[in-house]
Amino acid sequence: MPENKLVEVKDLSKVFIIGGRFFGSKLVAVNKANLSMDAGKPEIFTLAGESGSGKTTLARMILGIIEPTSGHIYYKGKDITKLKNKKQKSWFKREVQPIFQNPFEAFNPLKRVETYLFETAMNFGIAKNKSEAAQVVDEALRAVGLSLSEVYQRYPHELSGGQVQRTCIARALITKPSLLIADEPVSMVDASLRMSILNFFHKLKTDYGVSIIYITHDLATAYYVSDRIAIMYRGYIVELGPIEKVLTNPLHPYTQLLLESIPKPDPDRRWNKRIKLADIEVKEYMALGCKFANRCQYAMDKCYKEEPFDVEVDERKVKCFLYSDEKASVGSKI
Amino acid sequence: MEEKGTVLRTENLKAYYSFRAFGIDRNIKALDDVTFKIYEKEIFGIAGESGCGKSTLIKVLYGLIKSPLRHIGGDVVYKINGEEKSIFSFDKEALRRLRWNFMSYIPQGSMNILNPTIRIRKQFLDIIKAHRDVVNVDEAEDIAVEHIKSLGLPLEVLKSYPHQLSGGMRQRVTIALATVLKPRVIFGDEPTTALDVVVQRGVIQLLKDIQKELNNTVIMVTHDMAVHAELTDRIGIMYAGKMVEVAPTSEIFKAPLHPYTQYLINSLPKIGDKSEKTSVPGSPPSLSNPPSGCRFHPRCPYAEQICKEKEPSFEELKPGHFVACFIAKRGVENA
Repeated sequence: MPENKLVEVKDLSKVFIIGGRFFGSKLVAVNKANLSMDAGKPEIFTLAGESGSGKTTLARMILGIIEPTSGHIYYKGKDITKLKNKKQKSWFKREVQPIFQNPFEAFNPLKRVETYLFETAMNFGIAKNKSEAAQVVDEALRAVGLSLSEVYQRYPHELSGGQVQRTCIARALITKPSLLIADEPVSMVDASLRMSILNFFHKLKTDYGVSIIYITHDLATAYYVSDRIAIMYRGYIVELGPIEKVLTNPLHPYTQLLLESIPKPDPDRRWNKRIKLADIEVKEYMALGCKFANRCQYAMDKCYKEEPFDVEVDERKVKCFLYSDEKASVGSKI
Repeated sequence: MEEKGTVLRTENLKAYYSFRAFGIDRNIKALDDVTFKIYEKEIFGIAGESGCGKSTLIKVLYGLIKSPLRHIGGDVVYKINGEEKSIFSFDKEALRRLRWNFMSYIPQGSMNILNPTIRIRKQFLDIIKAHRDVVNVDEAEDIAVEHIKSLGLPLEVLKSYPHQLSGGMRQRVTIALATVLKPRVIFGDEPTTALDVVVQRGVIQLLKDIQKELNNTVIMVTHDMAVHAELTDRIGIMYAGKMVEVAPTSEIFKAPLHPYTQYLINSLPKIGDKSEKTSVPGSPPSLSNPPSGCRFHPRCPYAEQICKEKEPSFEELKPGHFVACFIAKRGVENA
């Protein structure tokens, strides 16, 4: 595997079995996902999609919490499903750190928050004794605009939501990771504090060289903070490319619907078209061919029978038959 | 334009959460001197950060005052069939009769309020039987079926248990339940929060349809300003238990007067705009010991000495545009 990739995900799938082992039905939560992030070029990569689209499952597989059914994940050239000894696993955990959705649930309410910070510092062997740990922790907290004296001896409920979330991020920073995986980090934070956390992500990228996988359903914040985006729908990555291109000129019909459905903070530009919602969602997972075909206004016969493949159009990958003819013309231009 | 009738007004409404521990009284001043009007046939939005008293306001308006929440002073006056009546003048039974028939409530996290062990059909029948004098099951069922049909939901939902429906469908069922008896006033407490954008759009579409069909008043609480922009006619902005600004939606978005509203509007991320956005500095104040004078002054960039000492009154600075701010008042008067 090339060493110049930070993360490379190849044909990654995850199948969950619902119900009994023999009579249960299969649910393909992530279907042959492919994505990669370059090393040495920190970026914020957004995974977006509605709930149940598989974005969290994909992120958890990259974190190593869930084992993939098939496919490979390479981190700095190493296949993370085949990490052998404790040393390698500990290295991986140091390098890739999670940030969870609800900061108040991430910390035990009966434990003082700095316990977690010190534990992280000690367990990963970053600090050898308490005073060294205090220094490391303070440094991490200062990076997020707090200090050890502010959170010392405090319980999670004594801090504000923004402070707890920043403490969570500080905890993740202690191990000096190269990749942060943030699952909906701002959705539980108040609107008025949301921007300060996103601004901080930007600072992490530019000042500390940390790459971030930002998982969200909020495309407006994704646009604000990230460089590239992958839109997921029913387990598939349907469109992947630079954020500017994908969000200002979406190609996949689902991306188009998604973008149009974001309420705009402008009372003069209200929706004038009506939409149809999916009635029974499980059916869509089971459907053959393109999962979006039932709700797609451009659906062709082919869409109901065959699975669409990735087509490279305009610097991005789109999983849609609408653009499959253009492939030849794009190829001939190059 | 025709003169709009008022369906609901509050006068210096005060409601505190009081706790008594070890002989010390603690009051959380969740609502302090709130005065505003809601007109007939409009969609009124209430916005503000979490903990500013939005949900408390809805509860008090709906007459759901339970300890530790206490009504301290002021009044909520409804206009019911042309007569003005205070919500505090009703006894329990009268309130029960009012609910669902005259006003109904879509609670927060309403996806999870459906009883998981009984079918949706039964939940509809229970509500219809409890609030209308219908004895006959068939008659009640007719009302439910007709309502589900008119909202464009599949009839199969009546036969389903809540867990068989998706989150968006459950949300739409909850809204259908709240509107089945065609109330004049509907309160929605974050009815679209925690939904995906496409589903959220469907729910907003449904709420709009219902309002148009019943020609009634919808009072909508959400912290999402973009939803307000999409749905509401007028917006009230709350901060730390106070109403700080009430104005038509387009004015709130284009020419907000209160510094807090300005922050709220300017911090909204937009697709196609990568300019840096800033959050409101500082953190929300404690409601048990709110700041003196204007409650926003510790976070306000324009704060002056007077803001720390005196409380600004809630005044109509422009036609239909109410603001509680000294600086904004001076700005409008000098302009």
